[in-house]
Amino acid sequence: MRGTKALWVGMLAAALAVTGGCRSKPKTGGTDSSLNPLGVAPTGVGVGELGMAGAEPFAGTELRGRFQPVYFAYDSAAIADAERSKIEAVADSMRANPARRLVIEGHCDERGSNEYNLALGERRALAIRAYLVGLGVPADRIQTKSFGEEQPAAMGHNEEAWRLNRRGEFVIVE
Amino acid sequence: MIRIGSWAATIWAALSVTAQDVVVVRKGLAEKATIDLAGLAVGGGPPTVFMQVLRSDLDRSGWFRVAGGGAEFRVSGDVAEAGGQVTARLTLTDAGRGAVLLGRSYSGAAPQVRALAHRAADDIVKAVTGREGFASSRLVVVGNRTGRKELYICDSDGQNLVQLTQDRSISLYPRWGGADNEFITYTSYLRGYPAAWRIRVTTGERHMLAGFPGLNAGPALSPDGRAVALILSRDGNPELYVQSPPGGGFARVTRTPTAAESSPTWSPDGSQICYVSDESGKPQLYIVSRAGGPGRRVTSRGVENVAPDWGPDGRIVFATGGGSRFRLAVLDPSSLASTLIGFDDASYEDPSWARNGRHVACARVEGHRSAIWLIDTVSGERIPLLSGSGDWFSPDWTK
Repeated sequence: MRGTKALWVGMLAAALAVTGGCRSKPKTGGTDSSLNPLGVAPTGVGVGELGMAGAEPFAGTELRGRFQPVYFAYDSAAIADAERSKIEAVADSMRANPARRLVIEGHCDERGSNEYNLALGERRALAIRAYLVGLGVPADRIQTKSFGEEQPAAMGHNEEAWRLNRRGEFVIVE
Repeated sequence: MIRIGSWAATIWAALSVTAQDVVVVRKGLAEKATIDLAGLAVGGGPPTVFMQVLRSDLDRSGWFRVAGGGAEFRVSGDVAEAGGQVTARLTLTDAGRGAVLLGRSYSGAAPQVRALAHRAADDIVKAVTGREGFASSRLVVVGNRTGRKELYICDSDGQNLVQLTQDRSISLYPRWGGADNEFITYTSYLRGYPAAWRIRVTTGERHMLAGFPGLNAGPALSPDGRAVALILSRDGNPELYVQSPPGGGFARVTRTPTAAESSPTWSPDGSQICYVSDESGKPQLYIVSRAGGPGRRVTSRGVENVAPDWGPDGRIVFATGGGSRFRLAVLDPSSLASTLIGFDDASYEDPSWARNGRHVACARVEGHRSAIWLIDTVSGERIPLLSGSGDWFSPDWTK
């Protein structure tokens, strides 16, 4: 476990070196997923590079509804251009409150395999996390939690509801 | 305590004499043999229940049609209750040849009468076909009738439903494992985030296998019970890992930084794992050595292929489709040929092989309600096992 932690710290350092602790917006190169399947801009940090194994899950009082949910296309964890400003607002707040910790919850609509949706929800949360790290928020202040299709925001069985359920939500842990 | 024994030495002798004939299946798989239960004398009360359960088990087995006179097989004997103890003495005869195929007694306390009948049904199936029956198997399922998703266990006919967890959390994807099915592994939000857990069924004792920040999901015990396949995002992305021994260290199996893995299931010999990955952009089935290396994609048709269960005879049952409608399909991993099992417009999801490698339990979703159904993959017959009182999901048969 110690080796894993050292590796994790190393990856974090590498990530910070890549981003240079930059505060500028990651380049928004459209949603062309051929560049990066997660829609993380080239200067950002890809999902799959920032582990969480060395940490304990955050525990504390949860504050919800401070930030707008980020919405996703069906079967996709790519962050759409139109959603980026929501994540940038979260990054601003996280930088202004250096002690603040954040859990990103990933959710899916009811379609598709329930068990696969749990992994897809995690990919959505991790994509948002990587984007925040690219904006200069330290990775160790952000954790992810997938609910798959278990906690829909809207109860209908149509696109109107599904659209609202494919989302990432921000929960501040104090 | 259930006791099973020969009820006459002469019949045991007859059984051993005919043993070599026993494994001969005389008919095509979908063609049913007739069996006559009229020669079984039953008293009132629990013995009547024995008869009802035996009859419906034989119907459900896929091998028999219970019929009157002129049947190919005959069951005779008696079922009686004395002092709270039920005893059934059964003789199974091949009517055409006059050969005794089985002579056996079953006894136990009256509340166990259903279990006694399930054992008898499995013995009759085995004696005639040489194949395992599944009447004495059990199912673990997820139900939401309390308003939360909890685990439940029931018999092969949906009876004796017992709530296993009382967590008031979210309990998902239960799977039996270990010697004599002593464990159930599952995913639970008991601590607020998805963690992998293992329950010892007899005591309810529970152990967390993995609880890293992020995703810890879908734990499945290997056939020998000495390892767990599961999905973790601890290294930054959902990937397949093997934990060996259960509760011990983790070895990473897949390396797909741009894809999500889910739903691991072990090959019968424990050397390979089948899982779902969206490496290609949509969820498809892959097979990988438990030691790692590149995963081999094994499904090509169908938009989404999900929820694999690797059966005892080496075939994989899974759900194929997309969006809100899935059908079941069976894949032969050596030829990669798959057979679609299509029925109606309902969605058939989360299949699990019974130990006979023929029947499958699955969730059937219609009108946004989910129930547990039993499917005979040979004849196409299907019946509901658990429905109503909320929704039922993710069945898994004892191995």
